[in-house]
Amino acid sequence: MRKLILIIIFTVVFVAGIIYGGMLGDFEEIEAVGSVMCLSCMGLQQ
Amino acid sequence: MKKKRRIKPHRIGQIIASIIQLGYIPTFWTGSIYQGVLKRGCVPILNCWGCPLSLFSCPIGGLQHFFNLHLFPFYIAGFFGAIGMLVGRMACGWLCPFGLFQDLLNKIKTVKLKLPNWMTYIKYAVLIGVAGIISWITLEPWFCKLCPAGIIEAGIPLVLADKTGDIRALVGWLFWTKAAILIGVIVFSILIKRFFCRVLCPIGAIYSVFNRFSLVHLQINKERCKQPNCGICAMVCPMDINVYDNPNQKECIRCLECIKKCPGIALTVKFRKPMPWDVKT
Repeated sequence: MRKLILIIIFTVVFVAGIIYGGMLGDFEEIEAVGSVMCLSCMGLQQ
Repeated sequence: MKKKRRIKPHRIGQIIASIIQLGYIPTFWTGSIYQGVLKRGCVPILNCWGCPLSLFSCPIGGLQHFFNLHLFPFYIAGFFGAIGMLVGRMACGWLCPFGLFQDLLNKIKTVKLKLPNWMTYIKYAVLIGVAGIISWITLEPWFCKLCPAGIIEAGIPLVLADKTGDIRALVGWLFWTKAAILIGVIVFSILIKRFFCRVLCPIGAIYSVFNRFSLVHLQINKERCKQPNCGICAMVCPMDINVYDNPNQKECIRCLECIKKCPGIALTVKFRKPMPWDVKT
């Protein structure tokens, strides 16, 4: 039971991290960088 | 009578997940990458977000992006942590297209090799060194630059489909380096079960830390083993782990094949609540 409570606490902390990141604009940042064709990810160079 | 072959449940998961993650079909006639709100979401596995078919973002690419900006990746760290706490490395077994690719390669009938245990620690060096320190210092996502998923999902298809020659003009040393890594991964994946996942994958390295603590985990009841360590669980394991000794080793991807094949029903999935038939071992 103690382990289960610890798992719940840690999961809540991590979910809070996601929410806090979202408040800081992490979602928009990821969307912006993910919407550009990353040439170097494909092994191509300019 | 010929035995009917059934597709493994985790294989169905891998196929469905691959179709969903690489499901931006309009790219075939528009020629453009998906740009939309779904890209805000990361998939919990390795999936090149540079791939024109990709609908979601790659968490390790996102992690490096924040390192390049010298910012703490709250969203990505929370995402990895939450997934890890709940299911450990299960996403590697059920959702990863690159894992599916390796599983299929390993079906090629040839001599098989065992991976020395020390090699499974290389992925932590890849995570901390390449995706972490080097990305932070050079301001470049060096794991993405070397990742074989990027060239197989995006680089090679784009170069092959190129009619104008514009893309082919961009092929240089980086392309050939990635191609060499891909060839190495393919060869070793034929010989060794899930070579990339066990040796090089930084996402696997992160989740592996949570395997011992995660909500979903395996439990072995050694009293129910029909004969002590018959070896069937270890034989069917796609990660070559010794399930009898410790079913929650860092390499376990929770594909649950060992549970399905165990003749004594000694293995169970547990959600941190004891089951009636569980006996402490």
